[in-house]
Amino acid sequence: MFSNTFPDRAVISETVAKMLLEINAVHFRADQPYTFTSGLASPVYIDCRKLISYPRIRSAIMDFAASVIFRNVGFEQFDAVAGGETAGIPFAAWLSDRMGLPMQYVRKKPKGFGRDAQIEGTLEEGARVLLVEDLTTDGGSKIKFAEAISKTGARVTDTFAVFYYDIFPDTPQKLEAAGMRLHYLATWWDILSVCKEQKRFSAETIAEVESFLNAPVQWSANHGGISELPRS
Amino acid sequence: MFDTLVTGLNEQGGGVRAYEACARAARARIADEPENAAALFLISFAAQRFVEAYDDQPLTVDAAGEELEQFTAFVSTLDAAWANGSAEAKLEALNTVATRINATARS
Repeated sequence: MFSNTFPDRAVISETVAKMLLEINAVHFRADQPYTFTSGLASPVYIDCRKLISYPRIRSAIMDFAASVIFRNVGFEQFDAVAGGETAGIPFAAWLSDRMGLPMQYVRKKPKGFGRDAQIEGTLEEGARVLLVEDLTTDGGSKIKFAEAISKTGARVTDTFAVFYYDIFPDTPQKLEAAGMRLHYLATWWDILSVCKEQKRFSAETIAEVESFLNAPVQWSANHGGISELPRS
Repeated sequence: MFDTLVTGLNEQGGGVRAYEACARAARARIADEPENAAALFLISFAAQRFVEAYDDQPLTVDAAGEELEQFTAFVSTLDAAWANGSAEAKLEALNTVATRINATARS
């Protein structure tokens, strides 16, 4: 169960950024950029799935998660915790355990065979659900998962991700329009801040990353990616 | 004929979501175009293969470019055969594309 401590929010963000850097989950590469699912070119990539292999770190992160959610939303505001396929599933399992709540997981699409299930586990009609994924970019996958959950009569009221890109200003509003409040522990800005403080990566790399974070679409257009975000 | 699917893919950014939409669009056409069903199914399969491969994996801009080039070639091969019109040409194109898709699959 949850350890019932409520660290300062800034300390949580800084600590999580340090943890992600410590396990080499953060990749900066401006000369050979990555492509996001939207087609946006980016010098940054983060692999939060690595966290599952570090028990001390993942345990602290789940305590942080529970503290942020209980503090932001309340202690009795959820009936279930659902993980989004695939990376959200282990985090949902640990977080549901911390919060003392039932767990489900949601597939990206119905299985297509047999009972055609998209949601696994028991979910009561009217249940208030916390949707969990490892990260949030533009919120697109969360909206799809929440739609699938709503078909059961349950409702996603909040969504949690360990990491939030925080490069598209309208993401929280998009999620709110879909009925969800967004909660997270750290962003690229926290990573950047720790990188500067610890002098990780070269000054040129950091400058390139900062340039992307400040104007992602423009950076993308200049590096072989899309020059405007596709209409969702 | 099939090149509109590639146009749509480019217009939507050539990322995972664009391939997902392309696969969906190809599948949607099958019901209305039964005479093109095999070609559309192969295109849909190739687009979906990209989605499965890169949905939650890092993809570099260079690799995305190579994938798009390859996908465009699949569609062009099918388009050329369908423009020719002979049943033999179509069958040969289907087999060629299926063989190339299979060769790119990492099983």
